[in-house]
Amino acid sequence: MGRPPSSEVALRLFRSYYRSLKADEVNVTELSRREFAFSYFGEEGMHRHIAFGSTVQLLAHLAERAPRHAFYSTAYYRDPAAKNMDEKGWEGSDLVFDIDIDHVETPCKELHDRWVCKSCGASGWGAPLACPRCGSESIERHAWVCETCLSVASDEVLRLIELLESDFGLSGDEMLVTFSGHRGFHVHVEAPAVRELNQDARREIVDYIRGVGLEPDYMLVKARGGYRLRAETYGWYGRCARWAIVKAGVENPTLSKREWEDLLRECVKREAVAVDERVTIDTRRLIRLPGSLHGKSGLRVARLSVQDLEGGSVLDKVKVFIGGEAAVEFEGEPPRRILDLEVGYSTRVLPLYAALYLLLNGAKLSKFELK
Amino acid sequence: MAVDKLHVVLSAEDVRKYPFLPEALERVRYLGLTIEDIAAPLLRSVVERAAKYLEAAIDSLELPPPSEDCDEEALAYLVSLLILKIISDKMLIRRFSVAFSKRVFRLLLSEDNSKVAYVLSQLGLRVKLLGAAPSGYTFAINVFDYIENIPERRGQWKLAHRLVEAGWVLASKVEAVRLGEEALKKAVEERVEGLRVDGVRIPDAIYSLAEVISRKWSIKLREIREAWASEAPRGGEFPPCIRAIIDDLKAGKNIPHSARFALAAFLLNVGMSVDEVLEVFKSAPDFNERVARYQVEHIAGMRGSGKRYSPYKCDNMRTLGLCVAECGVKHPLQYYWRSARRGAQGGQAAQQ
Repeated sequence: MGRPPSSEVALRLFRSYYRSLKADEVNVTELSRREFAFSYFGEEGMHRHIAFGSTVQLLAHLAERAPRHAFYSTAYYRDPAAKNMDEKGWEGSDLVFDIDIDHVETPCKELHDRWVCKSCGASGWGAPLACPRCGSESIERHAWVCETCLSVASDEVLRLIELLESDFGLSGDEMLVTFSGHRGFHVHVEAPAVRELNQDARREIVDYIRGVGLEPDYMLVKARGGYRLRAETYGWYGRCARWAIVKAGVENPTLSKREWEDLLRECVKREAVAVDERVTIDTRRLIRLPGSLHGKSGLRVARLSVQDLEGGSVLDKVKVFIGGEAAVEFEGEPPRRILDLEVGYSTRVLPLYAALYLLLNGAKLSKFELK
Repeated sequence: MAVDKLHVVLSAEDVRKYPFLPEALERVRYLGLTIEDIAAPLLRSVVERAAKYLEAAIDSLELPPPSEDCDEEALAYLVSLLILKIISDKMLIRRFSVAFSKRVFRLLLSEDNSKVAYVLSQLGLRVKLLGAAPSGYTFAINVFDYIENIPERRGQWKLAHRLVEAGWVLASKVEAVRLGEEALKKAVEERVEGLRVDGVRIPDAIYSLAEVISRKWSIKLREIREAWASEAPRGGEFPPCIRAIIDDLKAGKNIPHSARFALAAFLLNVGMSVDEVLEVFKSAPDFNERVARYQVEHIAGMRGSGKRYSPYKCDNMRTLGLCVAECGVKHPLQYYWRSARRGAQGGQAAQQ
């Protein structure tokens, strides 16, 4: 049997998922003030400017249309269904952070990511910035995720949460942490204190979290034989002070400007969190709807607790179609590892969630049959 | 962390210096004056004082000291706002708010800490006073209020350079007062915006003052515009960040979307046409004329909302990792205009 159009199988599976979706799995506060946007199987483009009066209405739409991708606005609007921004009437926005596996160093990209150079045609495993053969940066990538990537990115999320608590005084229950559905995580801060922040203020938060613009001149005071930190306890000073102990072996050391510069760089490298600045700065962003499925992975945009992130149980929370199996045959070389599975050219049967992921994320399959 | 309630007793002297405080409004309300009363010859000093403030804001951004009479000051402040509302010129409102906040900054500096904290809290800043702080700082400002009111997003004000803990940023008295000045600027503008004058009969004395001020302002505005025009750039130099993006493009590198936007918006804003901009992008490895034209036209304001986009300012360029040098400007276009102006001046000198 030939390969069925992937959208038909996926649509059927997505519909079965959405028909049993419960209201408490969709974590959208003040739902009626948000804009929603969807794209559907077999259709091009995105349908925007959609609003719902209640969670029940939203669930009904999901069950009926089983969208391929579902988004909602981080912003609150007076009239979320209005077609243009002025008419929508912006009334604040959650503070959102995006941690993307692409921006985090992971050791497993060699196992699943493929690249092809568009200039010279060379190809290989991994995620190089430039073609190792001709040096061109014009590279097409095909990326996959596995348990290792998710675990490294989870650590990044945990560090972000800790920083938001310790430095910004936010509490865990003011944050909604979700899997982004494919290649990362989202942290939504919904506290009223942040909703009105303008883009400049949000950028200041991002720069702080990423350690952008930290300059030793503002952090050091002259001391006999060199320089010392102005303080050792708060914020980045505290982080630097801890690194200084590691590096210099004594508390509150006096070092040369040069040594401090190196230390600061090291400290930022280790302690800064790799959040995507564009997402946080944008006060009118559409972001994955919690509880929805990602159309390129078939995985759930699940709400996660600190325990999930710490205990490495992220995959258990986000895998959906764990019951069935599918028969597959690969056309080219498949990624060697996806999610929690090793895959090879000779693999013939896969759990449904893994087969669906391969299908949706564009693996070359000559056969895909539900068993 | 809860913010302690501040107990401060305000005197008439405070109302005189800080006529934006609720106590000042309360006092005015207590006087029970109508707008006609204020405009009447008996209270001419109020309208005259308001006129003086507005003229000073236009001329020099430097307001004269407050009146000796606290009621007169409170009323003159309100009349100033009313006239600004009648004229409704954003730039003039901004000019007055800057001048007025600057005066308050100087007055506040000589107050004791608890009064400073009180005034700041009335401006919406969550503030804590630290007794004998080991750090030497006497104020703690809520971190979100801090980042919304920092006067500059660099140097000592950069949040990463501050002592930050559990949602509070330590600040010296001068810094706290400076943050208050920024908050006041916005508060004055919001207060003017929030005034409702539709359906209110404005007395002639106030209307004619508004006319005088408006005329004075348009003369000043013409002067400002002429100064700009005479400095109109001819072929300025591109800043290092923009040059770096162009170099990357020429080298066939695949540059991120943010860099493409920054470059296209920059080139359009220095007067290049859409076709000229597309010419620059042609060396991109994935150049697609149809898509690129659509995007550049969008940035130029020829599509979509019809809004022409500005390139990112330096702060944004830094955050996006596109800033490559410290060139002492706040906006890539500023670099261009400055060098163009220098070029123009050099040219004139050569001609003479």
